[in-house]
Amino acid sequence: MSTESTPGNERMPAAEAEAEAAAARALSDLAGSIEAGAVPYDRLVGRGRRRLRRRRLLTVAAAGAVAVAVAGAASAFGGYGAGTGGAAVVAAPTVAAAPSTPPAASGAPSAASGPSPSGGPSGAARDPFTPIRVKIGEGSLNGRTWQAWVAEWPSPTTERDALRQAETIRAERGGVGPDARSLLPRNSAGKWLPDYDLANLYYTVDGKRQAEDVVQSVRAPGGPSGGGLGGAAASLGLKDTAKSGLPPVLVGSAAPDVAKIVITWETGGSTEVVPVTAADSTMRWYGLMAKPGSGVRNYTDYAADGSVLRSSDHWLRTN
Amino acid sequence: MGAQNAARDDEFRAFTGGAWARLLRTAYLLAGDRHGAEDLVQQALERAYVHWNKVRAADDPNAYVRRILVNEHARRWRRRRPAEYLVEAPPDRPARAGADPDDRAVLLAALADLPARQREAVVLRYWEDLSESQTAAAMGCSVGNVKSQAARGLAKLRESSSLDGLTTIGGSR
Repeated sequence: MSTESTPGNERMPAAEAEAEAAAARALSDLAGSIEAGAVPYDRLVGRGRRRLRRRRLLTVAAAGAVAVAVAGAASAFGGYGAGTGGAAVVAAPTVAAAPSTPPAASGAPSAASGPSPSGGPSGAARDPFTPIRVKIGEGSLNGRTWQAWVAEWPSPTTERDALRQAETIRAERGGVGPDARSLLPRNSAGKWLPDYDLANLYYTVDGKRQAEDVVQSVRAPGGPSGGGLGGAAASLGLKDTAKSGLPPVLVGSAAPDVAKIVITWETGGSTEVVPVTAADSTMRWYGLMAKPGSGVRNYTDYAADGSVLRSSDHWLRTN
Repeated sequence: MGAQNAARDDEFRAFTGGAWARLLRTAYLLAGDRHGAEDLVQQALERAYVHWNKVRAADDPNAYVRRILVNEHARRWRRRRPAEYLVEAPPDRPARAGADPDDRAVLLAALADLPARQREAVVLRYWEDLSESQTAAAMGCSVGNVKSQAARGLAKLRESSSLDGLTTIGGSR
């Protein structure tokens, strides 16, 4: 232990000096008891870059806001000074707030088919309070139109932001009404995974968001590789089939190497879905309406070259 | 720009390779568990990456990053206090009285019981082997504050008997 040449140190009582030496030895032993392991270079650099990008974007956005404010003020003063003819100031475009429910369906698309892979704001800043919202499936049945959506909320960088994000998601879900069945934990702080986005999968019928949804953690872009959560699926609206007269909507995620999923129904026939990308999400998303009155016999994931990646006959209840 | 980024990454990797083990061990003493320690070091190094130009220009880049680490620990401690998590069963925890003095968990538990600033002062002074002024710089406080925090922390460790029992560890045992 290093000490400074102060009179106090020179006259340090022996017991105190011994205690300090003991502390140094004990702490050294304790610290030495853990293996340092491999340095996660890629993770550190990846996350560092993300932080840097976010910081630069925020700087640019702040500078833009200041410029607009200054221009606005100048215009206002100019207007007063000139009496007429003050230059009109067009507000800088801002990121549109994500709608609590997506727009109503237009037209009647083909039943139970996934849309072609689509994007979302690729390359945009990842704001934990503005989800990347993408339609992952749509169709119509009995004259009613349904749509499946994913809202992927980028990973917060702090626990405080995680709480705020959870509150924002809850508020959005609250718009559904008192029937909303939250799958979010009451206190998300204990569940916060810094390297994971939260994907909220839900569906609408005739443009109205339905009560049931699901939230899945997804490895954030640039997050640690490995240990990611695999594909998952949920059967939404199963309890409401009698009331709604519609079969449940299956929503789920698939690994990026899955190009197509084929679901075979117990009562015959099959449905193919093409998982959809959502900006820079590490997973792909899909949504389809179950065949009325039928359970799932099995499902098969296919790669782009047509090879089977995996197949299973253990799947969700749909009736 | 690409070459600049590549150079930055190379420098950062070289620095991280040399500093990782030490930072992780310091963080372990501060956080009290390996997972928390890794998280703490990663957060600190990510911040170091963002401010790499300042880190590399610093007289002592290690001291700069260590200060980020300590600040990060202090920030988390402020936010998490009091942290209570419901568990199904009481966690196994070493008994204080009559505990096996060889058990490092006793010291770790005693460290965890210290207030954050006292823990930081003790760890930086007696594990990082920093002088009082270096510790003050890392903690962003006065030398007098470091002295009192370290003395109080040390006294509490001795009171908890964890240190008295551990005086032989790594030394004359």
